[in-house]
Amino acid sequence: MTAFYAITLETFTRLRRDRIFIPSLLAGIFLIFLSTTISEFTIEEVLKIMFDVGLATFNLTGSIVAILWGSKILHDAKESGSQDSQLSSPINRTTWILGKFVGLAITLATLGLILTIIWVIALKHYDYAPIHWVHIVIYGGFVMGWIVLAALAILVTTMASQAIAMFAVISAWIVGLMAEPISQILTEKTPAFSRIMVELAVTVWNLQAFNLSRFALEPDMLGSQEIFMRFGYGIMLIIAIISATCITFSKKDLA
Amino acid sequence: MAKIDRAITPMIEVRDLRKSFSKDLFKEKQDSVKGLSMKFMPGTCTGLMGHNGAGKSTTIRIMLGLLKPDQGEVWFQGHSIQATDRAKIGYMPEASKLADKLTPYEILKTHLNLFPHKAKKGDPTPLIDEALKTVGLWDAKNKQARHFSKGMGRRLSWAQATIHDPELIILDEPFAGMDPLGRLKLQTWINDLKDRGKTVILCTHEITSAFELCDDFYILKKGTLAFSSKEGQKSSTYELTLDAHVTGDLDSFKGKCSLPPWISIEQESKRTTLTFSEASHIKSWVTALNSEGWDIHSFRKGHPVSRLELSEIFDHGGEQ
Repeated sequence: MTAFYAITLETFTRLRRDRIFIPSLLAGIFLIFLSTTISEFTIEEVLKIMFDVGLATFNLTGSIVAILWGSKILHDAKESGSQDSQLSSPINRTTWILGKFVGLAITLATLGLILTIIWVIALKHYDYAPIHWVHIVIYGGFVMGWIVLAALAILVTTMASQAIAMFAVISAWIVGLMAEPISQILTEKTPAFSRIMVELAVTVWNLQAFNLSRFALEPDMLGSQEIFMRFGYGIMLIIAIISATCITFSKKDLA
Repeated sequence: MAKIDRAITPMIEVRDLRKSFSKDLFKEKQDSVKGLSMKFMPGTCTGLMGHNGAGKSTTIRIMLGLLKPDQGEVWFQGHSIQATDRAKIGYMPEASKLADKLTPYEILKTHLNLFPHKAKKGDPTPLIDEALKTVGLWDAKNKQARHFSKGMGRRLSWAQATIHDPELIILDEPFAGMDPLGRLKLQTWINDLKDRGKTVILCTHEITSAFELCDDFYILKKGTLAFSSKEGQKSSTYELTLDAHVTGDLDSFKGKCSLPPWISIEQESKRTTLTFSEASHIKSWVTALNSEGWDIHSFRKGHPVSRLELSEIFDHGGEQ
């Protein structure tokens, strides 16, 4: 077993046993079934309500968990002393931080996978709509967004405390969600500086890119090129953030 | 590769180490370690002592590569230390810092896999089982470490520091939180390591344990070396005076032994004052005095000489 795999497995095991994991899973399951129940009370838009509420709550649950885990993973390693013990071995810091990140990403993907399976079971059970592969892609998009948020949280915790990291990443999360909708309502009267800032945010930090929920009711509208573009954007963001994390962490004094 | 003479090449050495920290962006940096040079010879146990803020932990963390020095360097077995050299170092951190949601088995397995020479050797289970039995945690093999007492945590840290069979073991306050039995066991382990030719750096506040276990001592004061038992046996300002009630014959003792220049003995009626201006070898001198029938335990403060002597140096090292 390589050092990288050992750190990844250790991180996955620790997060799987974290007190957040089971409650977030239960909350996700509860919200999925709540969305199906709420949709029962609508008159015509049963499917729309079910998808809107279900997907939004799914995304919200995962995003919060990603921010919490991302901002606590290094803090916990420091507090528990595993950071000191492990980094005083021959492993280099880049391998260690990559192992931590991949372990976190796998745990988030596991959470997303379990919730997706529950969602599919719920859809089947209530016989609302045929399951389309696009529905799975929609969940994949959300999980990609979670991983991006988690990566950002890890980057910030290499430079700041856990509390500051959480605050900063929640702020960044809101900016990332709001940038694209705001860009669509810009007018000619919008000051140039504001326009530039919003457009910059849409380009480099657009978390709406991972929200494919509008294709839930019209799955055929989602082409493979668009999927490639959105997931490619996510992978580029992750690579950029994790590269910055590796550079910051390798230069850091672990006092 | 040049052959290493283990007798004269230090296992690890720090040369002119300097490190400063700033508490925040707007404050000036404060020196934590100021030009520190120390050598730790193979097969010895060296006590690294000093009060809080003396620079012990900073020095250890620089040796381990967790901190980068502003100046100076760390040498390992005769060359500038490399990341691969850390495979030969075991570290027992201060307090029972452990990955709390993992079991001892999982912690040790992860730890072993960080060392390439151990990771390639296949199934680590027998090695882990042996380590857990040695430290007395076999029964708690599958219990999460967060349920451990502090002493159990220390035992697991001990297993973690030694399971990869390092040549140098750095122990940071190893006795903290240990019950008397655990303490005794740890002392036995440290002696066993010395017998096996391992190098031990013992960072502790416990004078008695340090004196019993260590061959050499470094005492740090505000980031500088206040005392070294290796180089001339003293810092420039150190002088220790012991008052003893002597039952033996002083003239007879003086006749038999040629006293070194750093011990002076003065006798006034029933009171004898011994002044040691160097600390090293004091233990053997005290043994010699004992064999001559001196009552060496009746020093002021009621301490046995070894403890009193080191305490005096230690306090001197931490003087404001």
